[in-house]
Amino acid sequence: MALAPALRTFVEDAVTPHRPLIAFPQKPIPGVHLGEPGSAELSAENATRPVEIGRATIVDARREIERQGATPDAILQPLQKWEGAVLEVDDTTFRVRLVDLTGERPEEEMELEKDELSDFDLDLLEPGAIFYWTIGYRRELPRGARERVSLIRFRRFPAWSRRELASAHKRAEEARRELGW
Amino acid sequence: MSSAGKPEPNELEISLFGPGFGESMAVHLGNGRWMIVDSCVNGNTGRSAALDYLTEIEVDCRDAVIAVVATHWHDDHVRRFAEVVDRCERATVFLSSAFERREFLTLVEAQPGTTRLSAGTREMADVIATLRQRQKDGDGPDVVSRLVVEEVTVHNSQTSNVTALSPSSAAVENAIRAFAELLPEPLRPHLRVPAPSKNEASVVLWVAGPRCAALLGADLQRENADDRGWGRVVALGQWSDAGLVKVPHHGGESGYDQRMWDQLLRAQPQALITPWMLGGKALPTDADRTRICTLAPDAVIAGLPSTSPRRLDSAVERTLKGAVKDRRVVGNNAGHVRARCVSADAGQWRIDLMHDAGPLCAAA
Repeated sequence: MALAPALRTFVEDAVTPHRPLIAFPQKPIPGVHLGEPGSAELSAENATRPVEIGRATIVDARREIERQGATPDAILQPLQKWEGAVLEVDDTTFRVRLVDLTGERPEEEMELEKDELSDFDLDLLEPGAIFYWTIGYRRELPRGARERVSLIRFRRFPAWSRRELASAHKRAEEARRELGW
Repeated sequence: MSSAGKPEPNELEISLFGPGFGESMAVHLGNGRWMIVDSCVNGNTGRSAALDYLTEIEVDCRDAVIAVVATHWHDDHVRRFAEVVDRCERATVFLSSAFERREFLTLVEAQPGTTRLSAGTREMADVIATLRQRQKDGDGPDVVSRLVVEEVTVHNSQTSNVTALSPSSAAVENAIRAFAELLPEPLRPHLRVPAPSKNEASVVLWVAGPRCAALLGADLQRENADDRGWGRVVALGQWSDAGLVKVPHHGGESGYDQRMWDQLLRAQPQALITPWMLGGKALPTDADRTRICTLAPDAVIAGLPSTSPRRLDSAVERTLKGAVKDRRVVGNNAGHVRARCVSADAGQWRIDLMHDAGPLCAAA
């Protein structure tokens, strides 16, 4: 199902179950730069503070909206949320393992059509990729139409740096030494 | 989760739990001492199925569990393993020798960001953190953890002994190469570590009492060379006549080696299996069932590989109907197979089936 461009920019709800989504206004927000491939991950841990990655700076979207006096033009009422990992990718479909973020339902495995993904997220589709999937109602404000939406959003993890990997090697050696292995 | 009393002091017990994706065993070694092998989740509680069972039969895992074994690191064998290690704080933790290598420990240390998705490497990271803390607290290295290779003694007492029959040194080296291929590369995005299909460094255990013996086959597979896999275990030569087998690799064809059945087991042994499902593939297949039921007509399986999903909100269901080609639940209430044997049983194991556990061959 196609998604409004405004909804595609929203990231925080994906990591905050039970919280209504508030979409960004249609007009672009100068300085707001969210979720480019290879940029810092926008997660619960870092969504509230600016993160500097090379020359790009990611800012807190909510504060930026408040600063500019903008108001949301739609809300999303989530009915169901999952966190998922891609297991396999075929020509037209991909298979995923899903953990329920809405309640305590058991894990599920599903095969989904690639058509569910935006072109932007399609580029991130590969085994091991992690995403959030929200199904709910998008409602235009103040009293606009309601439509059912399915929002799949791949997490934008940062690329591994050589320094991070060297650090992991170092921690591995420390663990080995401490355990007497 | 199961209605059962404690085993008699001289009674061996092997309780196998299988929630559809996962496997764990609680093994009574005699005189109230227990060993836990691998870990899976009880779908009812979200906790370790083995620990829930011990709690139910009023076994205090803190004192009673003396050994905890991770046969390998795959997600379906180590879910809640960190909880097991944490709660069984006096148990020695036995890990495959492949785990000590830098390649594996780096894989464990190089985790992607926070996620609720289960991953074997993440679970092992928590386990290693606990072991390091215990080491700092002053317990000796052999008390906190021990590395397992073939023919290492895991437990030895008057009532039972437990010996590891794998991994061989060749298997460990192969596993290390596989770990190295999984390590993240610079400038590549963080991804969930996939579990490779090979389990070469898997720990197979031989559990023996005075007249009962069991082969716990983990996920060991048949290999082309006899320096590893079941060919190597058979070549060890001194193990035979077990009356019970936890069938390797969920009964799949890759774990089948006729030499294992011919040389390590009695004719028509009691076979126990856990189901498995990942990526739309389920084990055991119909062909696996047919083969196993020929070899072990009384084989039992600890659960169902998948069940129908519970119905969600109707609007969600309508969305899924248009977007999803296949949908299955993979975590169920853990089925439970309990096998017990005392000397008077002359090597015959008595079987109880609980929850979704049932005969394998009735449905074949």
